[in-house]
Amino acid sequence: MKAFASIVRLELVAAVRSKMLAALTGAAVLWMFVLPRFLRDDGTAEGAFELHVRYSLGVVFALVVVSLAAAAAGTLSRDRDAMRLQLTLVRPVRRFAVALGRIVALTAVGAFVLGVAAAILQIREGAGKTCDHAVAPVVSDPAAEAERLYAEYEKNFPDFKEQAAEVGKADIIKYLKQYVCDQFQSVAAGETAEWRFEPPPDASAGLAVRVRLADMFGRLDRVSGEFSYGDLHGDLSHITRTLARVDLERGEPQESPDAKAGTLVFRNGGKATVSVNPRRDLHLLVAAGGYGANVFRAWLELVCILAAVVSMSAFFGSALGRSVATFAAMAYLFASVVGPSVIEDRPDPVTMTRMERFTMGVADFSSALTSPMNSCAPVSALESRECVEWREVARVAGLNVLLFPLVFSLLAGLAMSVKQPRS
Amino acid sequence: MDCVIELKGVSKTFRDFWLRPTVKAVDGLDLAVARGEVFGLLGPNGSGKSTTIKMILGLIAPNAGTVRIFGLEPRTVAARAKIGYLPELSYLHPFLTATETLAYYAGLCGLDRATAKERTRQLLDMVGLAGVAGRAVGSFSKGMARRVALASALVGRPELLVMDEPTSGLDPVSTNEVKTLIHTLSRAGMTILMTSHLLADAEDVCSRVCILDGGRKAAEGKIGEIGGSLEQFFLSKVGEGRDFKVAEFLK
Repeated sequence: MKAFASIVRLELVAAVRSKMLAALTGAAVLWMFVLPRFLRDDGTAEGAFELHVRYSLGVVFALVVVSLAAAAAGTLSRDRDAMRLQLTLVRPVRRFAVALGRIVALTAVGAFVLGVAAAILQIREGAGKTCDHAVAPVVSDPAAEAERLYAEYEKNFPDFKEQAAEVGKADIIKYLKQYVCDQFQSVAAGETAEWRFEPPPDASAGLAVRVRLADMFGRLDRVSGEFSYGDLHGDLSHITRTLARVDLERGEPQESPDAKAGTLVFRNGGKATVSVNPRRDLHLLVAAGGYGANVFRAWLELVCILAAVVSMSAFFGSALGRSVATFAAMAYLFASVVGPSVIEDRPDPVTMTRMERFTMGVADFSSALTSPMNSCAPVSALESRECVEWREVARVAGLNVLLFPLVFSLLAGLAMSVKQPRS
Repeated sequence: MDCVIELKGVSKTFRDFWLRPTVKAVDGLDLAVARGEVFGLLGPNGSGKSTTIKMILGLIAPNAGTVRIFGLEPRTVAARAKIGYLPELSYLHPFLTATETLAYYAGLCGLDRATAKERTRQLLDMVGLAGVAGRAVGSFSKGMARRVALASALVGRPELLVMDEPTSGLDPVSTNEVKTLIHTLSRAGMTILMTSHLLADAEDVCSRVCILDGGRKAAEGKIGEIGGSLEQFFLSKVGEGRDFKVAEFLK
């Protein structure tokens, strides 16, 4: 343990004396505290030009991830190339501890910088602000629904079995799952639609609806209507394709629907039919406490994600050398950003070409590989005032803190044994 | 004989990226170093000294044969707890001070804070760097950095000290100090394995030497029993026919 603490301390001293910590902290303070005083984030900067900037934790996180991925890529390889690593490796310390100590130290540096940014965010915006649990309506499981559709096709279309054998059931199920997730529910003018929530959220703390409505032609059109949940009501007056938040309050509804308990009712008060994807675009928001605690949970989750990226970079640095590892880390971050958008356009497996099949395979693989990073859920949750749930933090921590750093440290230790400079 | 280092039929071949053998650095080496000995590993450049030392330190694994340190596999933590290593060049972290450098290696050896502090003070005093203990080692001269490296090799009170060219880069006074230190440590029961190109230095401190050539053992013997000077003995074993072919160049 003392040896491990020594390695952590060495890397922390290196981060301080190389001014990396100061530079990153300075950049975080500049972005979160100084710039918002001069450049407004609403797209109308003072002066002749327009800016669209977001002073969010996400920008600082991106900066920290890129910087620390590069630093982690070099931490072991640089010392090995400079022959300093061998002086550590001849001491009574396990090789995996040498890698893990550096990963922990670099993650701690990132945690500090993100902590400064999160504290500024809380001071700047946290006063009186709350966050909400986002509860999704009860809809059928897309995987089960896809299986049901597959069985139905098999039963109803004689040619389907042959085509399915050629394409592969797994690909068809993936496609059907995507199809199910993309299904919209239409609500004609003057009509109502209902969605059930299980268990029924407690209305006493305050409820709101978050919804994104669409029209038939994907235009930006005005929509209006009313949401009811028990004796709570809220009027909607918004435009399609953008997220709307409707606060529900006690009061007499304009037209009292015969709703069951735990059921959200929407009455389309506009002139055109609107549609909604209940799997993606409809949530009941339940008040979940203060913003500060939410910022803390988001910070914790981001630190966990950072630990995974840092450990991966450290392993690549140890196994492949600094330049290859830096490139691999940047490629990983790039794949994290583009991966999900590629998969959104999944082609029909029956008609897709061999090349499309190959690219879909690559996209699926990159999506699985970059799953710790690719949605960056805590940042978007903070921005939409959604609660970062403890169970999500625990899941991310379990994967990214308990699994990745340990596995990558072991691999990096192994790489240290295999890859030693000759003299 | 109470063997501290024991090598039996050790061979090491380096390979390229495609696993094709590029150089056979050590070939069937047998070696035994007894407790309390100052053992010199000598040989011309490329004879396999550094590779042998790396295998003894557990930094690289042999392709064939066995290496045992205190009867243990050198890669085990228990074996490494008994070893101190002074490399040919100092390889220090330039941003650490002399005190921090020793505290770092003391931590790696598992010393508690109080013991580490006391030993750091003693060692810096011993190598004459107490006055510059708070300065970053990156600003040290080569000789000063060498002293820090020597102190850090001793911080864990090792039973076996491996020194690669211990007097390289040192002025005559410092060289003499290092030789005296080696004698003192040996008298205190420490086993020392050293390599050197400075045969006079090796002759002064070593009790026994082994001469390597092309990865093989060319000769081995006690200093008092080789007859004549170590330099004559060395050249007689590995120096024959090794002149530069200068006559044709000068034509």
